Amino acid sequence: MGFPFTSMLQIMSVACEGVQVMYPNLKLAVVEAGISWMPFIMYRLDSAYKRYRSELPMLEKKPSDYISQWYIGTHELESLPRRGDLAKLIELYQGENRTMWASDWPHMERDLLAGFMYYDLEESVRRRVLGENAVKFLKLDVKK
Amino acid sequence: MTVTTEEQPAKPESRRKIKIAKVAEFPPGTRVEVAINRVRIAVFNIGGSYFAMWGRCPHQFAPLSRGRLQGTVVCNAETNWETKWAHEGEVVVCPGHGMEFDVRTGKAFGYTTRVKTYDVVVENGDVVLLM
Repeated sequence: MGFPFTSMLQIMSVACEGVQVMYPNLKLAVVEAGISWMPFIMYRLDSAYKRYRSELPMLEKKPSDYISQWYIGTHELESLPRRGDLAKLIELYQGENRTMWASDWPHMERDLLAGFMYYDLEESVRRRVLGENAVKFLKLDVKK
Repeated sequence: MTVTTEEQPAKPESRRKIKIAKVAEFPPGTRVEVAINRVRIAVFNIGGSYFAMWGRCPHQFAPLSRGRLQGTVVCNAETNWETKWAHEGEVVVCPGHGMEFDVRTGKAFGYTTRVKTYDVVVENGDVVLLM
């Protein structure tokens, strides 16, 4: 249960201290913490940023603009109750091009593909989440 | 075939002119708030130069034109990533939630957004807003 909390703190630290401003080509990913807290940390930070921007003077854009550049692994995918929920969630944190399905292999409590396939997603988004985003993140050479 | 670009003839001045104040009554460091119909515009005198900007914050439409003038903290490649106080007297802070705008350009510090700015000229001792 605790993983998302530490992940949020780490994202907050890295994004708000301007690491991506100094190193704009750096690719970052957060994994093994699920995904449902992403909208919260992005937009809660945006809200606080209005008043406290002077404490984060390195940023040129609002925090969610930086966090939405992060890749995110789906493991341990939350038990969203309805088939349409995953699509809504990914849309909410603008993650169509950043979300990577993750199994947590070789751990035994891994996510199974069937758990992901339960959710309704547009076919193009499903393809991206199941592979294309990871190919981009890891710079894999895909043989057709 | 050679394509040549001809200079466009200068457009006649079609902008509306609105007298804001006498120059003598509008010293540096002060502002004048103007309501044109229902549009609120803030005109600032910063070190003898006049700048006008839209008077509402794009966030939730708080009265930006009444925000206090101050400087702000900057930290970028130009400051060698050192935190510095800069733009003293050129930053208007929204009284709603503290967003900061550069009075000279209308750009919000730390955002990619900006508020609309207007030209201001001095004619016959009057400060005149061009719309």
